[in-house]
Amino acid sequence: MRSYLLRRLPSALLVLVAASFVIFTILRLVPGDPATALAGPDADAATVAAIRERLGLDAPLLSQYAHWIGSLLKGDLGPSYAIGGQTADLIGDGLGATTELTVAALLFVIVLGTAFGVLGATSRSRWLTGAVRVVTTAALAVPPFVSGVLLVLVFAVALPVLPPGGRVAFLTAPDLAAQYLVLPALCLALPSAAVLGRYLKDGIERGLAEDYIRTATAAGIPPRRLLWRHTLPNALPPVVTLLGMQVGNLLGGAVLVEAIFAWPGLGQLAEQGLQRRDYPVVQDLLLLLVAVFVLVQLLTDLVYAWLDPRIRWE
Amino acid sequence: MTAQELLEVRDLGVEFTAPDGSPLRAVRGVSFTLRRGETLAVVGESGSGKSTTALALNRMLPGTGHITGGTVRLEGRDLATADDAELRAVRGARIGMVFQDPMTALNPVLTAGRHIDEVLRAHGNRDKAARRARTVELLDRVGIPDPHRRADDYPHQFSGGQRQRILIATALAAEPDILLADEPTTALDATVQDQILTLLGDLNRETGTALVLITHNMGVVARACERVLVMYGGTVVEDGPTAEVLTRPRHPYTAGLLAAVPRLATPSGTRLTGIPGSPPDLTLLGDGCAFADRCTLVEDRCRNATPPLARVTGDVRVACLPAAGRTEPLPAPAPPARIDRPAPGAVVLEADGLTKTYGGRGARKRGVPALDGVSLTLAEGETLGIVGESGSGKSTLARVLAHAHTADGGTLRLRGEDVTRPSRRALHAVRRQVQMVFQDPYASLNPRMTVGEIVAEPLIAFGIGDRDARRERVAELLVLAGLDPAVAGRHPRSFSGGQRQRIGIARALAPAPSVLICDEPVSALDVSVQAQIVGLLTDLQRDLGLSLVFIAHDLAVVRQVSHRIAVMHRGRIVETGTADEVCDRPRDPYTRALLAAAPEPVPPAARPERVEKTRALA
Amino acid sequence: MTQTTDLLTAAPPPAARKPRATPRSRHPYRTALSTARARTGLVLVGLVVLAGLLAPLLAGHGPTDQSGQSLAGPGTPGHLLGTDDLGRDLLSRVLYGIRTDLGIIAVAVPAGAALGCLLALVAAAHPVADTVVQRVFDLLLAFPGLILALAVTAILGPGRIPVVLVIALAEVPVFGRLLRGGVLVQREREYVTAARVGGGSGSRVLVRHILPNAADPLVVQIAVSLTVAVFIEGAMSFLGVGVRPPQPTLGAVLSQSMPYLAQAPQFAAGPLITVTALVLGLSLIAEALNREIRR
Repeated sequence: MRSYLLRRLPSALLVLVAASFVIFTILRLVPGDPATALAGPDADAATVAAIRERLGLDAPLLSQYAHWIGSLLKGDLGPSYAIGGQTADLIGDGLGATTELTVAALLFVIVLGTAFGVLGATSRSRWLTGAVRVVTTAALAVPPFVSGVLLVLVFAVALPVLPPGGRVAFLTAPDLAAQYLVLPALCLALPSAAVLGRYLKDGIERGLAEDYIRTATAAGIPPRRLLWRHTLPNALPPVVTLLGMQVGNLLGGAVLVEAIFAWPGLGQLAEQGLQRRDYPVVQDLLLLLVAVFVLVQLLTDLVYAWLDPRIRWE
Repeated sequence: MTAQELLEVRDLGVEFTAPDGSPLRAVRGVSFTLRRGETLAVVGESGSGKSTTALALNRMLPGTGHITGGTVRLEGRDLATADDAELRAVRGARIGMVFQDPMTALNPVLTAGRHIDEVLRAHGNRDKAARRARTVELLDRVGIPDPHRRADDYPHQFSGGQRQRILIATALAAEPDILLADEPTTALDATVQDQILTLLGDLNRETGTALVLITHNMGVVARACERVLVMYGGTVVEDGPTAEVLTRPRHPYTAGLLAAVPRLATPSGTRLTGIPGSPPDLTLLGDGCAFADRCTLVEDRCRNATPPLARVTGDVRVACLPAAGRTEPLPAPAPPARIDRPAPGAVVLEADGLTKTYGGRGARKRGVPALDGVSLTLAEGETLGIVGESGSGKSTLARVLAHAHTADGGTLRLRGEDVTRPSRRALHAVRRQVQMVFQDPYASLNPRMTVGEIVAEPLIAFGIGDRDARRERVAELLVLAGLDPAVAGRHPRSFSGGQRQRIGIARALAPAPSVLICDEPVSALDVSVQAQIVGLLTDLQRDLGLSLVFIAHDLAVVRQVSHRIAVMHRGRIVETGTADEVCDRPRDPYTRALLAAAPEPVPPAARPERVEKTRALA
Repeated sequence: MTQTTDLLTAAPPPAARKPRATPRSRHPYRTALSTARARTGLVLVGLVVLAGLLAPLLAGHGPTDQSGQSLAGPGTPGHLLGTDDLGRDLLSRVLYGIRTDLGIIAVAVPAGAALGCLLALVAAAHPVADTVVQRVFDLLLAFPGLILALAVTAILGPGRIPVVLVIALAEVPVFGRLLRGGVLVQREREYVTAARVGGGSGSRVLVRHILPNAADPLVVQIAVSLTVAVFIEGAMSFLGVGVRPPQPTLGAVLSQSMPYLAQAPQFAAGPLITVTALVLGLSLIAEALNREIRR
């Protein structure tokens, strides 16, 4: 298992390094100079030049890159250019909010997805399987920005039981925070839950047709145990891989959901940073998101190996 | 002996619904009884309904399958109408089942011990420690060494034979009265098959569990069961004591099937006997005997009325109208014909010290060579038989000889020219000379292409002829392979296994090769069809002057068709010689083991060494 | 693995193995597309596409003409679906919106698919190329799509091109990985060995044998990806980085209606129904194809 992890580590690092190059390049391609933006429209050339020098923007690109990576490795993210404050603080705040959102969404995805998958594959009630089909189809057919607004209309406007937007930090007041969290997390989770549900349903249906299930049935194993102990463990590894990929989708979708629900997360920060040409903030934030994704993929591989004895024992 | 009726099947019918909605009657009017502790074989070829019958007994029918009529009484209780709870109590506890493929029949995420534990638990054993003790005891009984430790291993850590043993332990865990084994040894090598059959026999004697063994192999029947049920086209055609049925078959199909089984004693250069035609299409079966179209003794009345299974003498029942009035034994099959072919000429293909190791991804696979210094020669017009069990490297050898893989070391010469690592152009020239017929007639044909396209593919690749010439040549090749040229427009999925193998042969002949490498060309086919394909290959050899490499695991077939035999074991050739010499006077211990393990369709009484064996066990 | 022994069991022979009455077997896609599910999908998609193509004939107004009457309800004379907050005819905005969307997804998805497949073929050529291509796919997957969208738009400015680019980039690894996996599986199949022994050159074996058999999941994926593309376009419009207003897109019209959802729900109804019909139709087709292929 350790060798399994070690084999995957180099490629993960490679992706991170490549991503840092790409991010750095993208930001240098954005038209408009942060110094000009920072100096304001009326500033003279000397002021702009002074700001450029202060920010290190007059150095050659390669040394700017080296400087960025160097200070990252030292753990010093430096001040932001335009938004104000330390980059580390800005990203730290945003990361807290986005993590809260995506983790909550992931829980919804797992719970709803499993329910959709298991019910869809095994329920004998045509009514129930039909309902699951309709819900998953709807979750996939309605764009998230529409479902978000609909959720707000129903649960915040028509039946005012939940707040329409905003955030309370989870650690300060968990119960209140949960109220603010439910709608955005649900909105973010719905499409992924539907995807997971369909995938799991396929996996269970294929699993139930396997030879070893026939063996177990012929030995008199009761249906419930057949499903949970014999079929599901085999359907899980690919589902875990899918879930890992869905984390990427959740992080991406968070940008949109944060905009709908005024959730002060990384998406909002990215939008702000790009508008104001705040290189340090956007650079670090993008790299962080890529790193999270890469880490999740590594974790997924580990869980996969742990679930499948054929890999575990290799 | 007080025989007690345990299971009584009356008029069982099973139907499947084809995707287009038409019914497919897989089993029709099957009746038989099973006594306590009895060993009963159900033998038949593909589509005979033997497995469907077995699965119907405890209602394990897959997909659209359903029982259309009849009763399955287990000590008086009808399982055909039992509810789910009742069936669950029967499955495992009264009827245990073992399936064909031990590679897929065990759950990959459960340990060997868990498989047994689950069954014990399902049938009411709530004491965890007791279950564990019983699990270890069972694993020990079926011959898993070091059962305490191995109980916690996963299926992929066991060999095929061991997995089948674990499956048997699982099936017997809840002490059933009947063990239903559906082709339990088909996926195994002959030597392992022998061990498993011995185990099943021992368990039957010790525990008194009745054994129902579903098989296509007459040798297995002779080896393992007292009574046999012969099935054809979804019906039972003959039912009687094994010794009686094997020595005096009453039904023409049984007789044909027995004659078609290649015997180890038959000398080299003998034609295989087959049954003309192919098994019936179950969707099209109407009244009359299902075998009528292939029967040499057919009478008019056979086509009009379905023959009932009637008692002829003693314990023997036969479903054949003429058989009831027949007092003489069935006419003996025509004496085996010689294969007329010219004597082999000069050496065409020569291999010297071939080695090949697959670069496996897992650490496990690396280092074990598939070929470990293989040397052989093949003469013009000669058939070289290569025999070995799975993992012996015989398929790798075929692929290296046909240049599908490149050898790691050694040399390969075609008519004196070194072609071990040919240049691109030389490779093209070599491939025109050396072609290959594959084992699996389902996997070796591209499902997206029509038969005509498949056969024309090498013609296009080698740039032979223009469009019209190619079309003519394809028709010619199809006729050569015994197919109607009109089939060129159809897709391979609408053909039977034997027909597909003919398509594969037509494709291999397309570039007019001089060497044909046949990698287990008949292993996937029914015995009655196998003779047709082998006959076709030998005829082609005679007419086209081909040199054949004929790879198989069945020594008897190989002996009959080959001039010389090479026996492979663990990537090496352990013995070569003329076919008769190798089979009659084997020198290598491995060859001797192979010969001893080959199941022959001869009742135990007629085989002295078997008698000794059973006596020793008793 | 079990095919050898498969033949010998009497487990019900699937009808596919039996000679059928029809001499020529139908292509599985045709069978799939003739199911009720797929027909419904085809009708839905067909209607939406047709409406978009015929927009100039069906719409009574230009998509950017302002009538002075804002947020008019459906059935208002001259405005079948009513008007938007700026008094523009909703029917014509939806119809022209379909046109813009079709123009985007019909370019972006095939482009992304083609590039992904090309990379997969490069990967199939050599183990080193395979490693490089796989890391490229990993990299593309690692960027959260919408943040990438923000960055691309920051570079290129809002408009059609960045939307097309973002959608295409998102599809590259999806198609690439699918095809790579398919090629790897098919390459080990026996009929491919047979084709090579039969003298087929590397490229001929790839084109004639491997690709046709590896392509099935790609066909399903195209239908799925088209729906994803509609969503990405909408999300980008919603975030204000989509096609430049006032040109209508389905996403733009929809996101523009969101602030008025409570007071004028009919504003959102037209574009929402259209998007749903399109996406639903495509998923029905994908599902039908998937079922037939898996058999």
